[in-house]
Amino acid sequence: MLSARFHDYDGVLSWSAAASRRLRSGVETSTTPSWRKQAKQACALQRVPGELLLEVKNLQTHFSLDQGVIKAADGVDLRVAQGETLALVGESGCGKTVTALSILRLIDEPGRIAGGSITFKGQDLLRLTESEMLRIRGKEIAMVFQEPMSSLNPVLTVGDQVAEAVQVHLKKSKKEALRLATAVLRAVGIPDPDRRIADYPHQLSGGACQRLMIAMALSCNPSLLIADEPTSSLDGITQAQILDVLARLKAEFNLSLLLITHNLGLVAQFADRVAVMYTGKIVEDAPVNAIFKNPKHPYTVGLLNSIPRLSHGNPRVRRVKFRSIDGNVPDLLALPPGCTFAPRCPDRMAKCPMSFPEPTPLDARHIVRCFKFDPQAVPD
Amino acid sequence: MTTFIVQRLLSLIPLVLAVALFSFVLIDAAPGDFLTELSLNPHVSPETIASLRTKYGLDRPWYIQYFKWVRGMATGDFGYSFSYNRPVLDLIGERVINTSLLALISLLFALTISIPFGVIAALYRYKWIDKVLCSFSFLILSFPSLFLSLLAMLFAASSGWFPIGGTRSLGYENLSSIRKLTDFLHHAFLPALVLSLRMSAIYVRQVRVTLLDVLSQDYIRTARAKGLPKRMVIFKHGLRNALNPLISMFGNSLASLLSGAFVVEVVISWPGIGSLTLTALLSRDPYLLMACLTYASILLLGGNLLADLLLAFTDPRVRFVRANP
Repeated sequence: MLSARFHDYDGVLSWSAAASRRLRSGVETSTTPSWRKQAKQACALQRVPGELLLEVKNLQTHFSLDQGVIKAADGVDLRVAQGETLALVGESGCGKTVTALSILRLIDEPGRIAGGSITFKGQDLLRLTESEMLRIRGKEIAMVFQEPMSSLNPVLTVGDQVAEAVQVHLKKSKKEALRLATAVLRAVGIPDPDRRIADYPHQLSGGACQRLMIAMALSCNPSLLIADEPTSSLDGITQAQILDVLARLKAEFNLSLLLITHNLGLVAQFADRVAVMYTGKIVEDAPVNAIFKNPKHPYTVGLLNSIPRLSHGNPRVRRVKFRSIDGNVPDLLALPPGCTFAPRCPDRMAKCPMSFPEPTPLDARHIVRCFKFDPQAVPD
Repeated sequence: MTTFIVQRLLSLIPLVLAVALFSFVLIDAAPGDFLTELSLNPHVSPETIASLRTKYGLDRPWYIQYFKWVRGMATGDFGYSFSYNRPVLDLIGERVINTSLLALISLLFALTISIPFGVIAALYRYKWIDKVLCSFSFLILSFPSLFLSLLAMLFAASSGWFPIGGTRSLGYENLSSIRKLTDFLHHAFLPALVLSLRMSAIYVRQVRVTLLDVLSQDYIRTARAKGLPKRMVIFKHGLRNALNPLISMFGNSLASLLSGAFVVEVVISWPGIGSLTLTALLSRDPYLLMACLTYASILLLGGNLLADLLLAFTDPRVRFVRANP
């Protein structure tokens, strides 16, 4: 009980690495469950840091509606290395979630994956059969969703919902799966998991539900975790706790993380690399430092400028009023010609409405899609 | 839970009394009474009529009759049927069982027909099988029960596979208990099927719509993202949630089954409460009618109670509210 309270309090204060280390060395190591030990061993054998885990190339996910075809993902390129955290950022409706669901091949009618390739551990997920895909979902790639409350089944117990994936993927008996579920619930910081497994989701708080979602996702020890705005629907303190859990488990299992968010604070804390998405395309892809210190694409600059800064009342900080990006995200059914950001772009050039700029590598790890940086582009 | 059931059962009493009061007022408000028809007979003198009226207590105002009836009910006396010349209790006993069994069997039919077809229609939405099922259920809904009953009679008569009317064959008494059961089911099959068809048609559409709604919920996406096989997603995660509205509907279905039974029982001559109510209504037999109406209201309220209990069983959120009032 004391440890649980300590844990929560710790989460409130900070979710820095130092705090996590203190936490782990303190209470939890003495009772490290076998699940963790096994999972860690498995990771040490399989997960070589830096090796390419997931590569999405030219992903096309289209939704055919009566009004026309929406290209929610229109040539998305992404790379996630082993142990890396890639943040996928962009405004609402730019295709982040569709990209994530495409990786799991969970796109429903009227949507379909129209082209491209999704290479995971050397095999193209788009070429797998549905039953082969079942062995990827939940086992190799797991996902945590935005709304924890509505993402949990109201009529099944907490334990059942964590255990069922274990039963299916790891072929464990119900009893063993429940024992493992208890261990995972403890690992994500749900107090008294032996009793909680008999509870139903409506008996848990929003934060506990999101911990539960994380437990469900991690129960089969996946290589890649996709977290789709995991903290957006939670209050600030709970957000910090959830992020603490994610950071801790990610470090522990050398997990690769695809973090979908529009919270740039989260990106700064968490991500190794950032991909900025706009109207179904990745417009800039760079290491996190480059994005924050040296953003290239005008849209990235706009996003960074739109962060409100806490300078009020502090004489040492210059008060910077935040600026929003002019205009709105265009209607995906009526995209402007050429570069879709051109109508809102402060650095617009004459050729921008002509065609969408191709990806231009600035250095080995920094790619941008803008004519400002295209060496072939002739300046006006 | 027990407290809840007892509470609900106790709350049945004032409701039944209120229904009875209302029925008494309505019967009294209707012109004429049981003896009106007899008084038109020129061979019966007005004095005889008057003495009969006194004997039956029909000369008293309705509220006196009502209180007499309530007092009788408290001691298990349901009154006397004038038209059958027998105590009401003797009359309705077997018929209540017949109608209840008929309702139960048709409910089972409706569930076994509608849940699989509803699931199929939902899974193949807008495909030809869904369109066939939807149009067919609409067709059945637009048929009156009378027509369906006649159709069933025609089928029984022309095929000879099913008995026409009644609940048992000749020589029923000499059959073994298993043969008695199959004989009864043989008789009940057609009326129960006719009775269940309309309900199945409603339920198929209900299951289809709720399952489609449930399958678009976030937790279904979660279940799929876990890599569960499709049948587990649909049946474990989908159908369990889709059944709750069906259970709520089921409470009211029992009562609507009874009103459906009115027609079916009369046409297929099933000796149940429905046909008895009709007789009581036509001959203005007040106590018999009261017993039938009381049975109907108990069926409605009991059905709702049963539905609530079932819902508490299937939906943990309902249970939770009850456990911590």
